[in-house]
Amino acid sequence: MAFYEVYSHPAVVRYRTSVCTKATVFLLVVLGLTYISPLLVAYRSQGFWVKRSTYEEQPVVKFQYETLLVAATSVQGDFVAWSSFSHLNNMLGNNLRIPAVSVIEVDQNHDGKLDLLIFQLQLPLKPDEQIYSIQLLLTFSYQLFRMSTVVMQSLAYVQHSSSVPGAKLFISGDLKLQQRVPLPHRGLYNVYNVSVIDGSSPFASSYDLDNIIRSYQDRNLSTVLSCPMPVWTVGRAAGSPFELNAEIRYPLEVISYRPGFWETIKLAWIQYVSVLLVFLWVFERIQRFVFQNQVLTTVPVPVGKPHLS
Amino acid sequence: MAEIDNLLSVTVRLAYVLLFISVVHTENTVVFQPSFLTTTGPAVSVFLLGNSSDISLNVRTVSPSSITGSAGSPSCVAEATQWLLTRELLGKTAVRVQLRLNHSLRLCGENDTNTDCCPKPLCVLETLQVSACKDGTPQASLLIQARIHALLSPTNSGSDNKTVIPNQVYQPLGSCPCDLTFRACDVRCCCDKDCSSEDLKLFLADCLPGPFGGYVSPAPDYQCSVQASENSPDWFPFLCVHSPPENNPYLGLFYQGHTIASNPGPSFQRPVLSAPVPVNGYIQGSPILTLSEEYFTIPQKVLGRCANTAPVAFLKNFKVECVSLLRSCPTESPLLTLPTDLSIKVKNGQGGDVVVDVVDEVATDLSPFISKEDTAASSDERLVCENVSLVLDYKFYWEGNGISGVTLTRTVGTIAFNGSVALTTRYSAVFLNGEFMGEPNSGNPGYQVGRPVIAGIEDTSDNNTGLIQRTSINLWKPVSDGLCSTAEKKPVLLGENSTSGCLLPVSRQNLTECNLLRETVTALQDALTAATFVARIGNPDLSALTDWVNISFVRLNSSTTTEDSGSACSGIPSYQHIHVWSLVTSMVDGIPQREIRALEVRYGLTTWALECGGGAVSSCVDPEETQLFPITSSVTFTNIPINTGPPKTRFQINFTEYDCSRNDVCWPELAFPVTKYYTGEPYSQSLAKGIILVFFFVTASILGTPWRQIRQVWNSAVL
Repeated sequence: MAFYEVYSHPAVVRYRTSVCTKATVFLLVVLGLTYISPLLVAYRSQGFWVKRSTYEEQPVVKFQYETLLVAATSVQGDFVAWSSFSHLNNMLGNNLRIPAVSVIEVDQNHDGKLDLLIFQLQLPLKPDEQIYSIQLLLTFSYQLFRMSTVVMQSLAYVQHSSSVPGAKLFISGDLKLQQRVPLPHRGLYNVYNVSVIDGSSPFASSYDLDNIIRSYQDRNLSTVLSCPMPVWTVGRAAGSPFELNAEIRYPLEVISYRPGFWETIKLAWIQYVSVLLVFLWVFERIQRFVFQNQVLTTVPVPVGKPHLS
Repeated sequence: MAEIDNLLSVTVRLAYVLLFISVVHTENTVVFQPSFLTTTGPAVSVFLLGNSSDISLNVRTVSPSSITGSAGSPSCVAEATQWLLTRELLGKTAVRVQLRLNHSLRLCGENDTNTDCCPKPLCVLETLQVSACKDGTPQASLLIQARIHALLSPTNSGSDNKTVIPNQVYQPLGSCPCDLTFRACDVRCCCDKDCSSEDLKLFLADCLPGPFGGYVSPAPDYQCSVQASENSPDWFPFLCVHSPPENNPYLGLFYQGHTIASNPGPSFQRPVLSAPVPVNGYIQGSPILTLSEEYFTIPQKVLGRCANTAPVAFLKNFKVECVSLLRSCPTESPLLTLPTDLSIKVKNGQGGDVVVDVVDEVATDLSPFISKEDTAASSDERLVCENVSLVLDYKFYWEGNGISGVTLTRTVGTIAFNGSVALTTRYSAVFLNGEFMGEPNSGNPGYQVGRPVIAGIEDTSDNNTGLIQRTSINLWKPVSDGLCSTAEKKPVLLGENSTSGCLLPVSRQNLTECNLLRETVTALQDALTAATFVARIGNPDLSALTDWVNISFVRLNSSTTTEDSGSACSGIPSYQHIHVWSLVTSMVDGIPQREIRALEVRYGLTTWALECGGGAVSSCVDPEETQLFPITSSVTFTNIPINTGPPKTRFQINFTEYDCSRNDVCWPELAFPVTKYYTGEPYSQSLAKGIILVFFFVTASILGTPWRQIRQVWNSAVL
């Protein structure tokens, strides 16, 4: 008649000792090794604390209808310009030329956020004028909401020049976010909610492109028009205006931010516990070996024997 | 349908009238149509038909005989009534007769002194007789019975006296929604508390129905307040509803929905051009205005070209150069201006005005102004333009918040060209406090980066020695062809390492006189740093020698002048190097204050020899032929670090366990979220969260096995 194990259950064996014994010291050492070593292992193997994290969001971008256009009309340095700022237009004098401008902002996927700006500009020219270069500045309001609420005024700058006089410039690009430091993980971030161009100022220095671009690029958070492939078309028909067609997309952005306290702790905790499990198992085995074999002298209390205290 | 009925009745009546006209026409008499009517309003309109050319109309009040009830025979005697009679000829044989009550229907108030009102609600109750008389004999008569009530509407216009309607989302219109006029009885609104019982009598039969008329259905029986204690259902009072009476089913009955004002986004609206605001004293950056409240303008650069009408800001100096391509003589401002156009009146900011004082100068040398002459194009005629304004230098003298004077130095010249010319004109504005433009310090107290290094020479001209005259340390600033004879100097700016130089033409003749050449070059180089002191701090005291440091000149003595052959000179100090040691001594408002500790000028010696290789033989043959040799100067700034301590050992360099800038897993960042290195949240918040976390851990761990063990130990120790 063969026997088989019909049932099993663990039995608790208690080992007792007094305070000032080797066993106590051993217990404390094991406790320390069990719980502190995983922390050191997890930390020293890099990537324990998450210092920067990313999320995805499509920004809410709106064209602000502020425009500044400069077009060089001869190789000698003559130019015509136009802006939506009255003070600047007044100063331009004979160099002012009013173009025909039309703007469409399209929400292509009907999610309530605008996706595309179609900007068309037709600049009339005198018969002896040719366009050699174009500088165009557009301003936008830019908002993010998912993590921290970001409200800022931003700009897109287009500059193209050619040695051959052109008839048309086509630009299709993305308005990309440029981040120098990660955003905070919550709260309102409206440091840059100031006009890029101070349209109320009557002074010439306010409309200096150098000053505008310098102070704008000084920002930690800005946008840049990424347009790798501008198309310059030559051969303007007599009497026809110079055309500038721009399609500016507002793409989904990957934005980096500083994780909050609990997010940092949570991700670290996952790493810590997974290492801790290994250490618990190892030191449990060591402790059992030590006490079962009486390597350190203790008083075992067998199963069923009642508590003494 | 009602309209059609109305139209029909009018048509029928008109046909009847026309029929009658034809009837009366034959009899040559006049008749009123209708001949009897009752009115409740203040205006009556009847037709008088027949030949009414010499008919007169009389109105009188009659009272019916109490016996017969008839009103008596018509009479042609006119009588004063409270009615006005007007007649209007409609055709040959028809006259429209209108009677209008010449009396206000307002109900008299208490103690009303104005008699033009009705003493009683039934204001007018009388019978009028209108007689059409011809030659004193009545031809036709009309009886009008007037029974007119006073108007109960308030005398003041009701629009500004509307009942205040509460927000319809949360409150019903009230117990009486038809109460539209505040503190006045609204007609047919039987629930209006302002209506007296006499008013109510007038329209009690025509009360407005439904909720609008105030007939809110009785409170539902689930309301606890409805149930009487003796006649209550068995579920009372456990299942009744306590609800305020305002919360009735008609809540929001008159609510028409919420409207949201659309938010107009940005658009191509032309922004409002703000006119210059009148000034009460200028402040830095505010525009300067002329007496006619316009911007005071000087040509300035806009988008690379000069704009002629750019406003000038107070205390903002500028200096611009404008290039304009002239193809014909200028005819207008700013190139051709009369002094009277320039001497305009400028507001001084203190309520008065100052006149621009124009001083003319004539430029004899036009080379700085004409840069390029295009003679290729139509070179037939040579244009000569006289009195062209080439330079406009404005000086504003300011004091406090005002301008005390403006002077303009205008340089005019006569330019002559063929075809076209690129003309450079210069415009500048400086603001001077008092008589001189304050010499700017380079920082207070220490130097700041980017400011000129202040040098000084001891003033020996005066007897009072010790006073130091300010000057600067310079580098070469080559212009046009880069020769030393034309080169200018630019001051050395603190913290800006730079190098520059110029070219010196040297012939074989010069190389035979090496000492002279050396002296020439040394003199050229010495002219750059004609100073003996350098200011230690940014605002040095000119009389205190402690603020100044001696400049040490290191001249390598060219004692070995033996190699001076006929075609080469050695030991020429062609290279000047300025070395400045500076030190950050303190911080003021977060701006580091620098101090110059030492300045050393060192000369590098080179040997100059003519290059005669290749085809350039001529300069070695011809003693007058020159070759160009470079003279360079450079400046280097060295920052003396503070408290560098002993140099780091190799162990310190390699041991980065505690240096978080060089080790990603350094020990100070072990508890990263609760350290100062963590910037995701304020330190106090992350520390508080960390303490909460630790507290829970400690509690949870102690309450388990360790607690039992500690207790056992404790108990046994006590025992």
